[in-house]
Amino acid sequence: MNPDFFVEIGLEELPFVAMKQLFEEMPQAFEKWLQEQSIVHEESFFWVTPRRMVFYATKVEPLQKILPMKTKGPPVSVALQNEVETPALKGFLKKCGADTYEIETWNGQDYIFCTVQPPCKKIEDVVKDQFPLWIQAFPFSSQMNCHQYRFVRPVRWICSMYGDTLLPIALFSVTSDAYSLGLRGFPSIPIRSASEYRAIIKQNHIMLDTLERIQAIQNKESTQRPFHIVEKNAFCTEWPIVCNASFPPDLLQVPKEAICTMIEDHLICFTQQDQNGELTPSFQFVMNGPRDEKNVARGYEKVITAKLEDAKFFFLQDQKVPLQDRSSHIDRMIFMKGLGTVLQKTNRLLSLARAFPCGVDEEVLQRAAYLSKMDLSTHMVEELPELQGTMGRIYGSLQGENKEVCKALESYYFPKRESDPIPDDSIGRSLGIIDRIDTLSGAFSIGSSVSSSADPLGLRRQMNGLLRILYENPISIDLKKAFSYALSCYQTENHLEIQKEEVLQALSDFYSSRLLLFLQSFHRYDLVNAVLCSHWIHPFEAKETITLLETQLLEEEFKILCESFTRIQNITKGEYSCEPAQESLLKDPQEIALYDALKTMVPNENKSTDSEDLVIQLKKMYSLNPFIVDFFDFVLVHCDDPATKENRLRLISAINTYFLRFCDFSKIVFQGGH
Amino acid sequence: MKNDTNTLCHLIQVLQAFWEEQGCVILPSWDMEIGAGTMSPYTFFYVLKDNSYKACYVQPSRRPVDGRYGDNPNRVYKHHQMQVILKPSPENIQDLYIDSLAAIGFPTKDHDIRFIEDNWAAPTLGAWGIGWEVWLDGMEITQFTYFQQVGGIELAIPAVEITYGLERIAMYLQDKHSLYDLQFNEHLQYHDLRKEEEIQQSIYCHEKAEPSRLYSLFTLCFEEGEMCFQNDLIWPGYEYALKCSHIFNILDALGALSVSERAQYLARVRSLARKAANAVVASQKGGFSNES
Repeated sequence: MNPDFFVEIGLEELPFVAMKQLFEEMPQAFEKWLQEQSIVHEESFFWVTPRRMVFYATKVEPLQKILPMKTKGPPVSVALQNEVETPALKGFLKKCGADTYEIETWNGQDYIFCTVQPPCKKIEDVVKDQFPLWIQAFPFSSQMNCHQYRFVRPVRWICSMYGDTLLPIALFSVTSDAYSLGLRGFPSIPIRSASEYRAIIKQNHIMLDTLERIQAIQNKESTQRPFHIVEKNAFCTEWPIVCNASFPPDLLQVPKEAICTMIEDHLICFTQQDQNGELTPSFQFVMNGPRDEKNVARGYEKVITAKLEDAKFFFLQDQKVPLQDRSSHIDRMIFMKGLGTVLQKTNRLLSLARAFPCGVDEEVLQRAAYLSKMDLSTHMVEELPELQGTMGRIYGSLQGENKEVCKALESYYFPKRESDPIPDDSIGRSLGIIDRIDTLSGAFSIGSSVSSSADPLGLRRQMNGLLRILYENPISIDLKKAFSYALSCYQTENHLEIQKEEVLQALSDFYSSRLLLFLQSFHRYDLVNAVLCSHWIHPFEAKETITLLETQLLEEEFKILCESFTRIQNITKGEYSCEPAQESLLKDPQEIALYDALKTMVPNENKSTDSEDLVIQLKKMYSLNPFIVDFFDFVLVHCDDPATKENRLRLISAINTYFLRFCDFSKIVFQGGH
Repeated sequence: MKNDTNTLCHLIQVLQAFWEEQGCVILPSWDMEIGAGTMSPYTFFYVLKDNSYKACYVQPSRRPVDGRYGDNPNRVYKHHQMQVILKPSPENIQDLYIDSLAAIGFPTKDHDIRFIEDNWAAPTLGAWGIGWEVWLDGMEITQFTYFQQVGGIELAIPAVEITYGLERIAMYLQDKHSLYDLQFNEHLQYHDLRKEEEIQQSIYCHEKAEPSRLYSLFTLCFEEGEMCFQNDLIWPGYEYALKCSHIFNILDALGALSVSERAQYLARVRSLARKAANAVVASQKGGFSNES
């Protein structure tokens, strides 16, 4: 049986991003490399721990297996003269190291071909020569200057074997050895052969497989542990052991959100709840390898207790100044570079809330807007910024603020990321909308922009949050007016000089591009394109229209409508007339009929169709179908008489305008074309 | 282990002896108010130069905003850092560091020591480093950084910086819940020597400092620093940057700076520091090596 082979590279602790990348990409990359190197093997594995990358292949053949290659030589007319081998042929055979040749036709001419067997190198040589080159060139997501070389992190040891022989590899200044290193503080591990590597390393408390480490952390009890904490621990341990610890019960008076943030996010430990879901004064930490558990627990307990004591102090201090009295505090805090203080932001929100209450109780919204940023000045949020909003809700409740206000103080930050829900309260949604409109307007007015790779201010996230809230709720707001008003607020509140038209245009473009991508993640791209035919489309209305279109795709009437629309577009070639058609110039019965039909649809130009039910709008358009079809079948638009031609173009322009209010039907794609 | 072997003094002695053994020169603390060990010229200047360098020193680090009137068991106006700089970094640097922990009473086998990713960046100085915070049983006791770039320039020889938080380590060693209960030596506790200082410094920085005089002081120091750099006097120029930085920190702790003022003051401190960094990189004068 062919022996196994492995390379273990020991490193200083890998960062999370690099481990995640390696965990996801390296197994395939390694297998691909083995194939490219013609290394015949049964299975390949890659494992990563914080301190090592391990490449392992089973049953590896001692020699590369490279298939023979056919090489084309000179044409027969040159190679053979009177059936005698010419110097040209001899030279070719010598070059190929071959004695025999074949004649094959290629491009209608006979040529000499040789079968060449490229040299198959010994596996030791291939790995020695090629592996270091390959791994050095690997695009690690994080690299550093390690003095003489650049690599993901400094290399500290290499252990590599093929069967029971040492495979000599050199990576930078480190050469391979038959020893691996164990956990810190444990002895180094002699490896006698590749096949025993996995067992030996496990005996020495190294769990190579990340999934196994994840399971070891999850499995301890039946309760579900938050995966992101499990994963973080699996990525910074080699032999995870879950242990118990506790803190003084009186520290439970600290808000549970703060306790969880400190224990879960800062110390990557697990909080514990009783049967009623209440926090208990205990937690679990993950220890790396078998160590003195009591010692380690003592350290963790000390850290948690000190942090919670600090938090308790902050919690009591903060309540000495109620949220409502903190305007001078937030006047000392910067909202965004170049966009003034947080107090100025609050004042703008108050103006926006007055002008665009989004259909909620204005007094409640005003109060929520006034208090919305006050918690930023508390010690607790200074210490734990991730609790912004949450502390607003908690302090607000303690200080007797209205329930709806308190809820909104926290909820308006949502969605913070894609997986988050949107606020389930109307005040929170309204506040969330105006807050994002203000932030986006401000950022654009000082020339911030978003590129595919850079979005330092998180504007994409802000816009997506806005779109999601509006997509999921029929909140009535004129977005163009709201953004324009927000810019005016910066002019009055911050005395900012703004090229309003330009900024509004940039905002509109950004809005449209984000809305397009956003809608395309839920709907057919062509329907999205059809609906987004003007600026500042409300996401909820777009959704309604698209949803209706989705039900109509198989309807014959719908297809005819789309075809008619496309015909209009083709004939007018994008040149539309805004003038109304003149009744007196109509000649053919089909155009008169169409004119009359359209007149009943649009009785009054001033009356908007916006309020009309979408289904009714569509039905009305359907009713025009036969008239349009007749028109195109019998009436020649581009006729010789210029006045008649112009009048007919005006008529179909009017229809075009009428349809476009609904959507651009020409963008809709039918299977097999229109 | 005898109690006196865990004293703060002993801890400092052991660490210094350990790193002296590794070839470090043991330097006195920089005799000025400094916010962090990295800002000491013993680090800031010598990591920029192209020669090998090994040093170890205790640096008192003042953070006016952290002053807690001697009340808070974990947070103080002034704490102490043990700073170790090695350039180039030895290949076994992590092992050396682990050995140093064993030397002060944390045998690795009994404790969970983890290197948690924590990179360092000072964008206005064009400086950044790759590094870790070292957790000892969950407690952050050391910052471990490989400097990568300063002034936007890749360092020819990246230095490694190890910063031990002495009070924290001592609290763990002595099993004390409050920093003020630490033993300096067998007879003296932290509160004997430092409590009154903490109370008074906190009162000063949070309440009594006179902003108008500090504004003038800041301006004077800044102008003096500028003058130094105009005359290629990098060292005194940088010392004035340190003075400005400390005055700024007091004004900040007082809450005496408006938002725009704060940004302006900070920009001025950084401009002096940047001048120093650029000047050192450009000059590369005074080349030496303390490696045998």
